[in-house]
Amino acid sequence: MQWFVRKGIFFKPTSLIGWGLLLLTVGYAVYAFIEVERHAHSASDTLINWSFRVILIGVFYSMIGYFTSAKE
Amino acid sequence: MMENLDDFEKRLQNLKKPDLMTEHQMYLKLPLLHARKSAAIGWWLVALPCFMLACVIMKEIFKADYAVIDTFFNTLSTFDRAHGWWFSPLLFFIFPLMAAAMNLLALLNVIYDKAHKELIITIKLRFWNLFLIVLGFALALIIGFYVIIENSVEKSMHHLEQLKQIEKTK
Repeated sequence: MQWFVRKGIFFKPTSLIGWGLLLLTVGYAVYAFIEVERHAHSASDTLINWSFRVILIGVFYSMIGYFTSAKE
Repeated sequence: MMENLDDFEKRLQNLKKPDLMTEHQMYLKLPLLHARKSAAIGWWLVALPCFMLACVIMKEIFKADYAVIDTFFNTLSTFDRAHGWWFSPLLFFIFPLMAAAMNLLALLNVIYDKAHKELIITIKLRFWNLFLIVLGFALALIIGFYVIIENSVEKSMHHLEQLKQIEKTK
């Protein structure tokens, strides 16, 4: 099961499932931005809440990448 | 002279031979994690606790009164209410511990020498993995202490208020 390949601290997709997961992650990040922006009162308000969610989803994406990437 | 030489030869023959370390040795290498991959995921795992700690330091030590920091803590409490009590401990205590443990396992090499009944533990010296081990354990320790102290302060304040109320009723 090799869906990703490690590039620094990121995991680049190498299969269809990998690309699908990346699309889902990016999609969630965009959705999170829109949702945060709707309730935020300032630009910093948006950024701080959005980056929190992006790091969180990044952790889960990286975990999947860790277990499904090629052996080094 | 000849007698001395014979005596020396005898003494040499009677010397106990050292055991060869490479022969008949049974190795049991524990399965290790990949050092580079562990470092990659380690950075993601310590990112949020570092972010939170930076906010706490700015608020508590430098007394920074930014709305951004308050928003961050409000978001955290919203997440806590939405996902349950386990969300914050997982994010700020378990994640850095996981980062430290994964990087430690990636560097540790455990060999079991069956012949000599020895467990040989070696640690590879890789800077970023070692850095993440220290950072992960330090974050878990600091955040753990912070939570304990804050909890005890809150409890003692609550206790003090109760005492004041009792005094008032008297």
